[in-house]
Amino acid sequence: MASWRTEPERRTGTWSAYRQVSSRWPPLYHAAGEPIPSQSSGRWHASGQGYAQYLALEPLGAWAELVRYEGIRDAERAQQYRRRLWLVLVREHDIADLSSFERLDACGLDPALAVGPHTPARALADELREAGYRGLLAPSAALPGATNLTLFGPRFEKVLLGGLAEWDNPAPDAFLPCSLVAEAGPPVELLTATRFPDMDHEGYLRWFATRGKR
Amino acid sequence: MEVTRTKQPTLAKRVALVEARLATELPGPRDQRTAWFTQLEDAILGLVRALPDGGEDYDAGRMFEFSVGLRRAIVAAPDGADPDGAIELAILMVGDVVRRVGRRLEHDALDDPRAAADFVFATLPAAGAGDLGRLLGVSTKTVGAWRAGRPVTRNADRVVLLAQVLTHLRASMTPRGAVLWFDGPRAQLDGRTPLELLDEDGPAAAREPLTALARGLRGQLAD
Repeated sequence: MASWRTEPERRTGTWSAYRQVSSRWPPLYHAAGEPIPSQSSGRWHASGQGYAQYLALEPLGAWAELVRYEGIRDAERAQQYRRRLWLVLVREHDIADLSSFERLDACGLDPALAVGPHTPARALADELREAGYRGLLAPSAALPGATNLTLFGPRFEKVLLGGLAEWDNPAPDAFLPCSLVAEAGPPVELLTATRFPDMDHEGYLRWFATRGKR
Repeated sequence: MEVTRTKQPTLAKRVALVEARLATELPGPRDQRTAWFTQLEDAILGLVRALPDGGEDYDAGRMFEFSVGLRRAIVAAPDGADPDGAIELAILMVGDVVRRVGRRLEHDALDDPRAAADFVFATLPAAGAGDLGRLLGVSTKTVGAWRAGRPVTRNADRVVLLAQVLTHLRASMTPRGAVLWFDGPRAQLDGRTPLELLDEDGPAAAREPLTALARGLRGQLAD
């Protein structure tokens, strides 16, 4: 039995999303034929247990994930990074809308799932996959106010110079159109705006204060 | 065709040849597509024959499997078309396996401490002997000796691990950034820096967590 009280809303839609990646690798995560999936663990999947495409709906959200993961806390380090920022046009269905703490709460889920330890978040992701969801929208733990879009499973990129919305996708379950935005590093403004695992998340605290429970 | 099975340069060239074939645009006309696939198939066969385990290699099996899928997709598609994207998808899947073989070869080559030391020096060309000594866990005098080409007999496991971690870092940051990376406290290491982990736990214990940390740089994760 799923842990939610009310099933999350299933969204169908089109999202422009961002993803920063090493210049040595393709924009999306795929590794065909691997005996064991090699993708490093993230909030919504554990290494060795399949793949996930981690995207952010805001460019700063994508950079904040790098700052948080790498523990970048000073400008000198931030200025040394060279990453490719990709725009990915996602047309999907059955995306669980848990895009706010309110929506998590309304489903009977603990809103801390989006910003706290990963283990319960991965358990929720397993339940979502089992219920036929293809991904989820959730608040970014790294950048209050930003939203992450995570797609379950591998996807392959169709790299285009532009016209992502016009591209006629021959296999929407497999391909996503992508376009290179920049090769750069995280903006230094994010050194103070990013929430690290040892910090409180203002968005969560604000929701919590409004709800008046802890 | 005579193939040297153990020489890494030969293998690396064969990987590059397959990658180059995959990067060549698939022609439209059916006969040209067949010729394109034959050239790719030849390049794959050359690579597989050069692998130490030949066709018994796990990734060789996957390359054959996906190239069969590619051939079937080419045969099934009308002239100049790929209506369901099956050809493009199969090309990307073959590419995944070929790149994996290339990375494995690179890492295997770095299992040799002398080659690993050379890789570290080449990857961090502007690093001073002090920084290199801290990373390699040896004196600046030893760094100088290794830079001069002397055998790497001390701290071999650490030199190899450092080189392999750098293969993951170098595409995401400057050489200076790679040096700084080892001094940054990490939540994933309970607040320790990668260098502290290496110094305190040693290369054997540090291998898995450091490699996982560096591999996480491949692409964005939600943390």
